[in-house]
Amino acid sequence: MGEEGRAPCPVSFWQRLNALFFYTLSCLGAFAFLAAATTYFHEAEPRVSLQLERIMLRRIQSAGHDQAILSLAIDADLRSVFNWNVKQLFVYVTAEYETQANVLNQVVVWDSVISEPEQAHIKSDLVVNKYSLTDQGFGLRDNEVKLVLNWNTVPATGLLTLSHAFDQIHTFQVPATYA
Amino acid sequence: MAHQVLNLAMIVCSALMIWKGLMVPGDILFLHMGHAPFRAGDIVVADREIPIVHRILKVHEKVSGEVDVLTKGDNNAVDDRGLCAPVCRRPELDQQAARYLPYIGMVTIIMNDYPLVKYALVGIMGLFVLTTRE
Repeated sequence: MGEEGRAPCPVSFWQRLNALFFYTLSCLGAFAFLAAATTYFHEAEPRVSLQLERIMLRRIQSAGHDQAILSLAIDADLRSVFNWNVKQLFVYVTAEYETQANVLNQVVVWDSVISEPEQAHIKSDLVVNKYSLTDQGFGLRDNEVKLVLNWNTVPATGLLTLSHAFDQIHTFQVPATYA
Repeated sequence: MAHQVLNLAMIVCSALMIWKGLMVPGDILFLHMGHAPFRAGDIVVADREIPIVHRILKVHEKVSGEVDVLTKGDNNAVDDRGLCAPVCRRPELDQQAARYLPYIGMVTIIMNDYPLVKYALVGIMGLFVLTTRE
Protein backbone atom coordinates (compact mmCIF):
# COMPACT_ATOMS: atom_id res chain seq x y z
CA MET A 1 0.00 0.00 0.00
CA GLY A 2 2.81 2.41 0.94
CA GLU A 3 4.04 4.88 -1.63
CA GLU A 4 7.65 4.96 -2.70
CA GLY A 5 9.92 6.37 -0.05
CA ARG A 6 7.46 5.58 2.73
CA ALA A 7 7.55 2.46 4.86
CA PRO A 8 4.61 0.16 4.11
CA CYS A 9 1.92 0.33 6.77
CA PRO A 10 1.83 -2.92 8.75
CA VAL A 11 -1.94 -2.69 9.29
CA SER A 12 -4.22 -2.66 6.27
CA PHE A 13 -7.17 -0.33 5.81
CA TRP A 14 -9.59 -3.24 6.17
CA GLN A 15 -8.02 -4.32 9.43
CA ARG A 16 -8.46 -0.80 10.78
CA LEU A 17 -12.09 -0.72 9.65
CA ASN A 18 -12.68 -4.13 11.15
CA ALA A 19 -11.19 -3.10 14.49
CA LEU A 20 -13.19 0.13 14.51
CA PHE A 21 -16.43 -1.69 13.72
CA PHE A 22 -16.04 -4.27 16.45
CA TYR A 23 -14.83 -1.70 18.95
CA THR A 24 -18.02 0.30 18.28
CA LEU A 25 -20.06 -2.87 18.66
CA SER A 26 -18.41 -3.71 21.99
CA CYS A 27 -18.97 -0.15 23.24
CA LEU A 28 -22.63 -0.31 22.24
CA GLY A 29 -23.00 -3.60 24.07
CA ALA A 30 -21.25 -2.22 27.14
CA PHE A 31 -23.43 0.88 27.25
CA ALA A 32 -26.59 -1.19 26.78
CA PHE A 33 -25.50 -3.34 29.71
CA LEU A 34 -24.67 -0.25 31.81
CA ALA A 35 -28.07 1.31 31.07
CA ALA A 36 -29.77 -1.84 32.33
CA ALA A 37 -27.37 -2.34 35.25
CA THR A 38 -27.57 1.23 36.62
CA THR A 39 -31.37 1.05 36.83
CA TYR A 40 -31.59 -2.51 38.14
CA PHE A 41 -31.95 -1.36 41.74
CA HIS A 42 -34.21 1.59 40.95
CA GLU A 43 -36.98 1.62 43.52
CA ALA A 44 -40.32 3.04 42.59
CA GLU A 45 -42.98 4.24 45.00
CA PRO A 46 -46.17 3.93 43.00
CA ARG A 47 -49.46 4.99 44.56
CA VAL A 48 -52.49 3.14 43.29
CA SER A 49 -56.18 3.38 43.98
CA LEU A 50 -58.69 1.42 41.95
CA GLN A 51 -62.47 1.22 42.34
CA LEU A 52 -65.53 0.08 40.50
CA GLU A 53 -67.95 2.92 39.83
CA ARG A 54 -70.71 1.27 37.85
CA ILE A 55 -71.49 -2.12 36.35
CA MET A 56 -74.09 -3.41 33.94
CA LEU A 57 -74.51 -7.17 33.52
CA ARG A 58 -76.05 -8.63 30.40
CA ARG A 59 -76.84 -12.17 29.32
CA ILE A 60 -75.95 -12.66 25.66
CA GLN A 61 -78.09 -15.68 24.89
CA SER A 62 -77.00 -16.07 21.25
CA ALA A 63 -73.27 -16.07 22.09
CA GLY A 64 -73.78 -18.19 25.18
CA HIS A 65 -72.06 -15.97 27.70
CA ASP A 66 -72.42 -13.27 30.32
CA GLN A 67 -71.04 -9.85 29.57
CA ALA A 68 -70.47 -6.99 31.99
CA ILE A 69 -69.76 -3.37 31.10
CA LEU A 70 -67.67 -1.69 33.78
CA SER A 71 -66.87 1.87 34.69
CA LEU A 72 -63.81 2.35 36.90
CA ALA A 73 -62.30 5.08 39.01
CA ILE A 74 -58.53 4.96 38.71
CA ASP A 75 -56.06 7.10 40.59
CA ALA A 76 -52.62 5.70 39.90
CA ASP A 77 -49.43 7.69 40.23
CA LEU A 78 -46.74 5.70 38.44
CA ARG A 79 -44.39 8.63 37.74
CA SER A 80 -41.75 7.23 40.07
CA VAL A 81 -41.55 4.05 38.02
CA PHE A 82 -39.87 5.99 35.23
CA ASN A 83 -36.10 6.25 35.05
CA TRP A 84 -33.68 6.91 32.22
CA ASN A 85 -33.90 3.32 31.00
CA VAL A 86 -37.70 3.18 30.84
CA LYS A 87 -39.11 3.57 27.36
CA GLN A 88 -42.75 3.14 28.23
CA LEU A 89 -45.21 1.55 30.61
CA PHE A 90 -48.01 -0.74 29.59
CA VAL A 91 -50.66 -0.31 32.27
CA TYR A 92 -53.59 -2.71 32.44
CA VAL A 93 -56.43 -3.64 34.75
CA THR A 94 -57.36 -7.29 35.16
CA ALA A 95 -60.59 -8.75 36.52
CA GLU A 96 -60.11 -12.10 38.21
CA TYR A 97 -62.82 -14.50 39.35
CA GLU A 98 -63.63 -18.16 39.79
CA THR A 99 -66.48 -20.01 38.17
CA GLN A 100 -67.76 -23.56 38.38
CA ALA A 101 -66.14 -24.36 35.04
CA ASN A 102 -62.82 -22.59 35.60
CA VAL A 103 -60.52 -22.41 38.60
CA LEU A 104 -59.23 -19.09 37.30
CA ASN A 105 -60.57 -16.50 34.91
CA GLN A 106 -58.46 -13.45 34.12
CA VAL A 107 -59.82 -10.77 31.84
CA VAL A 108 -58.05 -7.54 30.93
CA VAL A 109 -60.73 -4.84 30.99
CA TRP A 110 -58.62 -1.76 30.34
CA ASP A 111 -55.09 -0.97 29.20
CA SER A 112 -53.00 2.00 28.18
CA VAL A 113 -49.52 2.68 26.84
CA ILE A 114 -47.71 5.47 28.71
CA SER A 115 -44.64 6.90 27.03
CA GLU A 116 -44.07 10.06 29.07
CA PRO A 117 -43.51 10.33 32.82
CA GLU A 118 -45.94 13.28 32.90
CA GLN A 119 -48.73 11.03 31.66
CA ALA A 120 -47.99 8.43 34.30
CA HIS A 121 -50.44 9.91 36.78
CA ILE A 122 -53.68 8.30 35.69
CA LYS A 123 -56.59 10.01 37.39
CA SER A 124 -60.13 9.59 36.20
CA ASP A 125 -63.47 8.68 37.78
CA LEU A 126 -64.93 7.61 34.50
CA VAL A 127 -62.75 4.97 32.91
CA VAL A 128 -65.13 2.90 30.80
CA ASN A 129 -63.79 -0.55 30.08
CA LYS A 130 -61.87 -0.96 26.84
CA TYR A 131 -62.64 -4.67 26.69
CA SER A 132 -65.89 -5.81 28.24
CA LEU A 133 -65.77 -8.36 31.04
CA THR A 134 -66.95 -11.43 29.14
CA ASP A 135 -67.16 -14.88 30.68
CA GLN A 136 -66.82 -18.16 28.79
CA GLY A 137 -70.29 -19.16 29.97
CA PHE A 138 -72.94 -17.82 32.33
CA GLY A 139 -70.68 -17.56 35.35
CA LEU A 140 -70.64 -13.85 36.16
CA ARG A 141 -73.99 -13.32 37.87
CA ASP A 142 -73.70 -12.75 41.63
CA ASN A 143 -70.00 -13.69 41.47
CA GLU A 144 -67.13 -12.07 43.35
CA VAL A 145 -64.64 -10.30 41.08
CA LYS A 146 -61.24 -8.86 41.99
CA LEU A 147 -59.80 -5.89 40.12
CA VAL A 148 -56.01 -5.51 39.98
CA LEU A 149 -53.93 -2.79 38.35
CA ASN A 150 -50.73 -4.05 36.75
CA TRP A 151 -47.99 -2.57 34.65
CA ASN A 152 -45.30 -3.88 32.38
CA THR A 153 -42.13 -1.80 32.33
CA VAL A 154 -40.64 -1.68 28.84
CA PRO A 155 -36.97 -0.63 29.12
CA ALA A 156 -34.84 1.10 26.51
CA THR A 157 -32.71 -2.00 26.86
CA GLY A 158 -32.78 -4.75 29.46
CA LEU A 159 -35.27 -6.73 31.47
CA LEU A 160 -39.00 -6.59 30.80
CA THR A 161 -40.64 -6.59 34.22
CA LEU A 162 -44.23 -7.03 35.35
CA SER A 163 -45.55 -5.31 38.46
CA HIS A 164 -48.86 -5.83 40.20
CA ALA A 165 -50.59 -3.59 42.71
CA PHE A 166 -51.64 -6.60 44.80
CA ASP A 167 -51.92 -4.42 47.90
CA GLN A 168 -54.67 -2.39 46.24
CA ILE A 169 -57.05 -5.08 45.02
CA HIS A 170 -60.65 -3.93 44.69
CA THR A 171 -63.21 -6.69 45.24
CA PHE A 172 -66.82 -6.32 44.18
CA GLN A 173 -69.96 -8.40 43.74
CA VAL A 174 -71.52 -8.64 40.28
CA PRO A 175 -75.30 -7.90 40.41
CA ALA A 176 -77.60 -10.88 40.85
CA THR A 177 -79.93 -9.63 38.14
CA TYR A 178 -79.37 -8.98 34.44
CA ALA A 179 -79.92 -5.48 33.12
CA MET B 1 -2.94 -15.23 18.85
CA ALA B 2 -5.83 -15.28 21.35
CA HIS B 3 -6.88 -11.87 20.09
CA GLN B 4 -6.96 -13.17 16.57
CA VAL B 5 -9.10 -16.17 17.53
CA LEU B 6 -11.53 -13.92 19.40
CA ASN B 7 -11.73 -11.55 16.49
CA LEU B 8 -12.46 -14.39 14.13
CA ALA B 9 -15.10 -15.81 16.46
CA MET B 10 -16.79 -12.41 16.61
CA ILE B 11 -16.85 -12.09 12.87
CA VAL B 12 -18.31 -15.55 12.45
CA CYS B 13 -20.89 -14.86 15.18
CA SER B 14 -22.13 -11.63 13.65
CA ALA B 15 -22.21 -13.22 10.21
CA LEU B 16 -24.35 -16.05 11.61
CA MET B 17 -26.64 -13.59 13.41
CA ILE B 18 -27.19 -11.70 10.21
CA TRP B 19 -27.67 -14.85 8.18
CA LYS B 20 -30.11 -16.63 10.47
CA GLY B 21 -32.20 -13.65 11.51
CA LEU B 22 -33.47 -13.16 15.05
CA MET B 23 -36.71 -11.24 15.34
CA VAL B 24 -39.12 -9.48 13.06
CA PRO B 25 -39.76 -5.76 13.38
CA GLY B 26 -36.39 -4.30 14.31
CA ASP B 27 -36.11 -5.20 17.97
CA ILE B 28 -34.51 -8.26 19.50
CA LEU B 29 -36.43 -10.14 22.15
CA PHE B 30 -34.83 -12.79 24.31
CA LEU B 31 -37.27 -15.57 25.01
CA HIS B 32 -37.52 -18.28 27.59
CA MET B 33 -39.67 -21.36 27.91
CA GLY B 34 -41.60 -20.24 30.95
CA HIS B 35 -42.55 -22.81 33.53
CA ALA B 36 -44.82 -20.33 35.26
CA PRO B 37 -48.46 -20.53 34.14
CA PHE B 38 -49.69 -18.06 31.53
CA ARG B 39 -51.32 -15.02 33.06
CA ALA B 40 -53.00 -11.94 31.61
CA GLY B 41 -50.36 -9.36 30.65
CA ASP B 42 -47.66 -11.90 29.78
CA ILE B 43 -46.05 -11.43 26.38
CA VAL B 44 -46.04 -14.71 24.51
CA VAL B 45 -44.86 -15.91 21.13
CA ALA B 46 -46.96 -17.97 18.75
CA ASP B 47 -44.46 -19.65 16.47
CA ARG B 48 -46.02 -19.21 13.08
CA GLU B 49 -44.18 -18.64 9.83
CA ILE B 50 -43.70 -15.10 11.08
CA PRO B 51 -43.65 -15.34 14.88
CA ILE B 52 -46.50 -13.42 16.53
CA VAL B 53 -45.43 -11.63 19.70
CA HIS B 54 -48.61 -10.58 21.46
CA ARG B 55 -49.85 -9.94 24.96
CA ILE B 56 -52.33 -12.17 26.79
CA LEU B 57 -55.72 -10.49 27.18
CA LYS B 58 -57.78 -13.34 28.66
CA VAL B 59 -56.97 -16.51 30.58
CA HIS B 60 -59.48 -19.24 31.41
CA GLU B 61 -57.96 -22.07 33.38
CA LYS B 62 -60.10 -25.19 33.67
CA VAL B 63 -60.23 -27.58 36.61
CA SER B 64 -58.32 -30.13 34.52
CA GLY B 65 -55.44 -27.66 34.18
CA GLU B 66 -56.20 -26.96 30.53
CA VAL B 67 -55.84 -23.28 29.71
CA ASP B 68 -57.63 -21.16 27.14
CA VAL B 69 -55.75 -18.01 26.22
CA LEU B 70 -56.71 -15.02 24.10
CA THR B 71 -54.02 -12.61 22.94
CA LYS B 72 -53.95 -9.14 21.42
CA GLY B 73 -51.22 -6.97 19.93
CA ASP B 74 -50.72 -3.74 21.92
CA ASN B 75 -50.87 -1.73 18.73
CA ASN B 76 -53.81 -3.61 17.20
CA ALA B 77 -57.39 -2.41 17.46
CA VAL B 78 -58.84 -5.90 17.87
CA ASP B 79 -57.80 -9.10 19.63
CA ASP B 80 -56.52 -12.22 17.90
CA ARG B 81 -59.82 -14.04 17.60
CA GLY B 82 -59.43 -13.74 13.84
CA LEU B 83 -55.90 -15.16 13.86
CA CYS B 84 -56.69 -18.51 15.44
CA ALA B 85 -59.60 -20.65 16.55
CA PRO B 86 -62.12 -18.80 18.78
CA VAL B 87 -59.73 -18.96 21.69
CA CYS B 88 -56.11 -20.06 21.32
CA ARG B 89 -55.05 -23.13 23.28
CA ARG B 90 -51.84 -23.27 25.22
CA PRO B 91 -49.83 -25.48 22.79
CA GLU B 92 -50.13 -22.71 20.22
CA LEU B 93 -47.88 -20.61 22.39
CA ASP B 94 -44.25 -21.43 22.90
CA GLN B 95 -42.24 -18.87 24.71
CA GLN B 96 -42.42 -15.78 26.84
CA ALA B 97 -40.46 -12.63 26.25
CA ALA B 98 -38.00 -11.73 28.97
CA ARG B 99 -35.48 -9.21 27.67
CA TYR B 100 -35.42 -6.53 25.10
CA LEU B 101 -32.81 -4.98 22.81
CA PRO B 102 -34.17 -2.34 20.48
CA TYR B 103 -33.50 -1.80 16.78
CA ILE B 104 -30.54 -4.16 16.35
CA GLY B 105 -32.77 -6.55 14.43
CA MET B 106 -33.23 -3.81 11.83
CA VAL B 107 -30.00 -5.15 10.32
CA THR B 108 -31.69 -8.51 9.79
CA ILE B 109 -34.73 -6.92 8.20
CA ILE B 110 -32.60 -4.98 5.75
CA MET B 111 -30.67 -8.18 5.00
CA ASN B 112 -33.85 -10.07 4.28
CA ASP B 113 -35.43 -7.32 2.22
CA TYR B 114 -32.30 -6.69 0.16
CA PRO B 115 -30.41 -9.98 -0.27
CA LEU B 116 -27.62 -8.17 -2.13
CA VAL B 117 -26.70 -6.27 1.03
CA LYS B 118 -26.53 -9.61 2.82
CA TYR B 119 -24.17 -11.13 0.27
CA ALA B 120 -22.02 -8.00 0.23
CA LEU B 121 -21.75 -7.90 4.01
CA VAL B 122 -21.00 -11.59 4.40
CA GLY B 123 -18.47 -11.22 1.58
CA ILE B 124 -16.75 -8.33 3.33
CA MET B 125 -16.67 -10.34 6.55
CA GLY B 126 -15.08 -13.23 4.70
CA LEU B 127 -12.49 -10.78 3.44
CA PHE B 128 -11.85 -9.67 7.02
CA VAL B 129 -11.25 -13.28 8.03
CA LEU B 130 -8.74 -13.68 5.25
CA THR B 131 -6.94 -10.37 5.81
CA THR B 132 -6.69 -10.42 9.61
CA ARG B 133 -3.79 -12.89 9.40
CA GLU B 134 -0.75 -11.06 10.68
